[in-house]
Amino acid sequence: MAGLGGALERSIMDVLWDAPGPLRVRELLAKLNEDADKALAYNTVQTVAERLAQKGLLRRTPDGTAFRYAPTRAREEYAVELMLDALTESDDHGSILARFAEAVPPEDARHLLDALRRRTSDDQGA
Amino acid sequence: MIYLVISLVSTAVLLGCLAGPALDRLRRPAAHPGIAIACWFAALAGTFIADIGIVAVALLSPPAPGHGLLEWLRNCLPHHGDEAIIMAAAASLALLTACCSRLARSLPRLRRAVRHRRRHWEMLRLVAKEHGRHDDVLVLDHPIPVAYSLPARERAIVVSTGTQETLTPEEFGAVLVHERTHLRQRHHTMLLMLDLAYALLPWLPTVRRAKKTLPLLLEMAADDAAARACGRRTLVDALCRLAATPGVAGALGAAGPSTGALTERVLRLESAEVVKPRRVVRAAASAFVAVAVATPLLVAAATIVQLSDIC
Repeated sequence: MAGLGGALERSIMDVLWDAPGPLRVRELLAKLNEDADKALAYNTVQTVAERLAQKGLLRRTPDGTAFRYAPTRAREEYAVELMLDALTESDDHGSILARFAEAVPPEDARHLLDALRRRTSDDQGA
Repeated sequence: MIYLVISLVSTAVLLGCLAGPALDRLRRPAAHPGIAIACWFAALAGTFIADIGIVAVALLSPPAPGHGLLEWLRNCLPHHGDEAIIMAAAASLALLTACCSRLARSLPRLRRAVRHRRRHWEMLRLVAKEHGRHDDVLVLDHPIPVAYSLPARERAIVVSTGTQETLTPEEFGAVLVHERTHLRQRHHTMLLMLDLAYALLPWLPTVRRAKKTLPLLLEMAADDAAARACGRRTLVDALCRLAATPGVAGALGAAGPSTGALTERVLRLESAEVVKPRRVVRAAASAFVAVAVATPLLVAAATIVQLSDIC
């Protein structure tokens, strides 16, 4: 899970998050090999993309005989979910991490994250 | 025999109901958080050993079916009246049901926590970037400053870009020492065990108070390590800046969350000078730890051994 597989999973997600639309494995491979020291094999990339699809991180759409892959959720959505974990303590289970400062109540954290998202989208709109 | 049972029950009561309040009343546990943490965990461990011992004794004592099973070969059941056997069986069944329902309630909670943590870490690996200079740090791209750690084999400390912008390099260093101390001293495991203890027996005073006091003591232990390495001033500055989190984003304003525990940490760092624990304190704490764990273990073992001899 860790090691090369983990690093490749991350590179694939990075490429697909930056891509304008769903990519085929061939296109994904070309992007990945653009700035790689050692060229990756088609099969390796396909296997890992398939694993990511099974984990629910990628969505697969048929395109001719092959598939196109796209992230199911934007990178920002994951960041917000991680921030919610980082800021709040869940009642459902014990603490999963140790914070440097204190936890804030969940509804406060949600307001905070929403307000911030609104503000950044306003900035971009203006 | 009866004396052993009485002493087992009184050990359970002493540890479960009185040890917690007594530890809470100790003069300035914050002066030596490490020692206080050891005492609390010894009290918790002793409480659970004693309680498990009582359950075992109740199930194995004649004429309960547990004893019957143990002593089946010696055929000791006929000595007891039918009525007594039925009553004991009913009592054993009720006791077992109660134990199972506690476990059924709390073990899934533990499983959820572990699963949630794994999921959090997997997301982190995809979204966060590796820190250029520290090889145990991940950077999450988000303007709200946060810093935390979770037990993982690599890159277990996470900071947001907001934290990097908010803190000076020295303060950032103090935060890292704080989090590394959490990881080195396995505070995450302790927090998980504490949560499990609370889920199992929330009504015992010792467990309830431990749940309230221990997390703060763990923070103080990590604070002490960071203060030693980077200076107390730096650590206090870092704490104050990161505590101002909601203010930074401007969403909550004055109605920020209560920061009672944080205030306590800052006040402690600002006032008390760090003194090495005196030998008496150390010795007393070690004695307490040994007695709190060994007593219920020995008494429970002795009672059970006695049980196999009587019929």
